Amino acid sequence: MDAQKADMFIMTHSKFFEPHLLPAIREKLLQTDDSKFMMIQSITYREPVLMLIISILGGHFGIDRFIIGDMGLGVAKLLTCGGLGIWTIVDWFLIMERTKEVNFEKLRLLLA
Amino acid sequence: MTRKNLYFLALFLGLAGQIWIVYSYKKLERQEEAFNTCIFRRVTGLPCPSCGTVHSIVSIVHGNFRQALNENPLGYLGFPIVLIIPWWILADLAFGRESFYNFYLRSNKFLNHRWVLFSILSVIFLLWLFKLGHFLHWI
Repeated sequence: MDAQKADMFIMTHSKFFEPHLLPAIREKLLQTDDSKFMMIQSITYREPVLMLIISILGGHFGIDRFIIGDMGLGVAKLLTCGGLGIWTIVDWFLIMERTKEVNFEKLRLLLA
Repeated sequence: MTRKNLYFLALFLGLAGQIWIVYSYKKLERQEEAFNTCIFRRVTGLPCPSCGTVHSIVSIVHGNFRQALNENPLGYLGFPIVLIIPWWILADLAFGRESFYNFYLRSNKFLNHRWVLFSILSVIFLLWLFKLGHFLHWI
């Protein structure tokens, strides 16, 4: 993939990933075949800020965990009243980082 | 989620759960009402799907199995989970194994099947409706 496309991807998608991973993602993109570009662009990445809002509003029922794909933790959170309310609050601080992690895992699967 | 993060989160929550149950147990034995942590109940005044789990666990400990079922059937699921998980993680950490992490990965994969997740959520939702009906004197 040429540098222009890789830079464009990084610029438009930087909010979905951890900042320290961006250089590694760019390197990987440069090594990837051009034919994968459309697929990479068409993945639905989860918006970290939106997940934080969902976590504040519906975190008590584990909805945030269900949406990002942590089904096991989602069910556990639902069954324990949001971890007695403690986990709900802990997740307000963890969910953005976890969303970025999940986004990176999705991209890594495609780039592998 | 990395193994370290999962173990830290599960251990913290498991131990907090155990301490909370012991605290509630002592409160309920003295016929006092334990502090209610449910945000949903505080905001809406209605019970959430897992409200009553601690009461249910205390009833199970006392041997009142029928009362536990009335308070919240999810107590039967929550009790063994809260009891086992912290010790499972501590054993894993002590012996350098990854059995809990593997269990987490397997259960996540299993729950990713739509029909499994849908049936579990449906059961929880039906139990909640029943509880709400009881609470609002519909039933």
